[in-house]
Amino acid sequence: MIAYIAHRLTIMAPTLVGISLVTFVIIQLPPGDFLSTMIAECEARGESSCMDDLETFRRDFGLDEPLWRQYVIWVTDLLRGDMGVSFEYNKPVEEVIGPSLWLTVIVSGATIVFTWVVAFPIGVYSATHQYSWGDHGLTLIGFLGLATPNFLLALVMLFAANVWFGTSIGGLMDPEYIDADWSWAKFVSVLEHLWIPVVVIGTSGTAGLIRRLRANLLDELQKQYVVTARAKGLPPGRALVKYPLRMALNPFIADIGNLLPQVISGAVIVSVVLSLPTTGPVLLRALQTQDMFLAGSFLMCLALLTVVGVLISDLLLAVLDPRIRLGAGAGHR
Amino acid sequence: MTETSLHAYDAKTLAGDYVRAVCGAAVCLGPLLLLEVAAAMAWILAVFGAVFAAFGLRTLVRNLTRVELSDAGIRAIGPAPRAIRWDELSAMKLAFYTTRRRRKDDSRTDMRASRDWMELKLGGPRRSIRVESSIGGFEAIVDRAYNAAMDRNLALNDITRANLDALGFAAGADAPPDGRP
Repeated sequence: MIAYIAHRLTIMAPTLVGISLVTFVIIQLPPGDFLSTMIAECEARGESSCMDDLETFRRDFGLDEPLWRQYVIWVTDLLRGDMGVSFEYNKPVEEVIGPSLWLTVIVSGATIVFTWVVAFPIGVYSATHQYSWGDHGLTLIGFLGLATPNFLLALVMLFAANVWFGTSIGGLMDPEYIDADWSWAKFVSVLEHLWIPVVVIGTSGTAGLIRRLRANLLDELQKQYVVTARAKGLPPGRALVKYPLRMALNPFIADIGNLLPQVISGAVIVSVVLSLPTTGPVLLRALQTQDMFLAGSFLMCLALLTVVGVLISDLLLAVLDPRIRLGAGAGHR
Repeated sequence: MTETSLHAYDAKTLAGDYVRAVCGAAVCLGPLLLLEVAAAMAWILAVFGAVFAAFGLRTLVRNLTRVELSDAGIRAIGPAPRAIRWDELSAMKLAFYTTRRRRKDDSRTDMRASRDWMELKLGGPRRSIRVESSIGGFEAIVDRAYNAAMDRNLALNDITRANLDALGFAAGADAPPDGRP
């Protein structure tokens, strides 16, 4: 196993270096930077005093250095745990992301739980009752869920809530709690608002999970060992749970790599539509304004979580099911 | 007369593993020594560095180890000597590892030419022996171990049976796991 971990880590390290390079280059690609926009605004206002400040700012942040040096400084600062300072907010990146990160984790965590809790029993039911009315009905709902974009569902729910109930369902808490410190009342308010983004963000994921679980389980249920187990009188529940369901879960373990970045990415478009105070809109704004340290650090965090997630899922798969996937028949006998 | 064969690990694979261990340890431990890294990052790098150090040590042990296969049993000769007689074999596991996420139509068979490998673990009364597919004559070792496992009616798990099937042994991966429903 240690060989496998070492092999995976040797792939992971250059991957991260590559991602950091691509991230840095993409952020630098558009002409100008955040400070040149500020200088332009300053000149438009005819002010001369801020020009000196901006030049100092540029020097302090190393923006007058060649690109390769800026990259090296950025990466070594990241290793030191210093994500830099956001130009727009004029605060360290950690302080900008911090408040919205917890709300993002709550929304994403609840969405993942919702997706699994709803999809799992439905997927198992659909597979064990293939071509029944229930299966057809759930399949139809699943396809509808897959075909409906999350942001569209958000817009429809906003409209419906406004027209039928005369209320706005945007945001993640009542307005009086937005700038307030955390309290029990604020937590309850978050829980009251949470179900809407959870349903909106989780719908397509739930539908996808149902389809995949159904397909995987159907594959397993048709294998000879399940037929034999049934023929030998094993109770249907045990014949389902003991091996086929376990095997059908492997693709989901392989998906853990996608779950980790989801937890902090904050479903950008839905968050904008529903006015959610998550990290998604912060990232979007940072990219629009070329706030390079904020955007770069955030993208690097997402990439790191993706790579770590894939590593975890690969290690879990190697432990749980270290078998040849397909035909490596060496023709030994 | 007893037929005995001696098996050693492939030098090219070992060289690759040495490079991996040294580069990995350098990448992980270098920043620890040269930079003032954050505490969390320092822990992560230290753990990864330890993994690469252990991997390097394991590669060295494999480099110095020879596996002797005979009609009586299997014996690892080297820094960590151990032996199992075939009539004392108590467990056999065959695992497959790949660092690639395989495409469905991928049917590459030559494990030495790819980055995939297998690991055979044989259990005895006191110690176990692990052998990787990068050793010369791996198929012969698996063949002998499988015959011994069949002679002793050992229950093989479904993963081992699937991997044996893939190697061309008719182990019956589709049969009920562990021989019972």
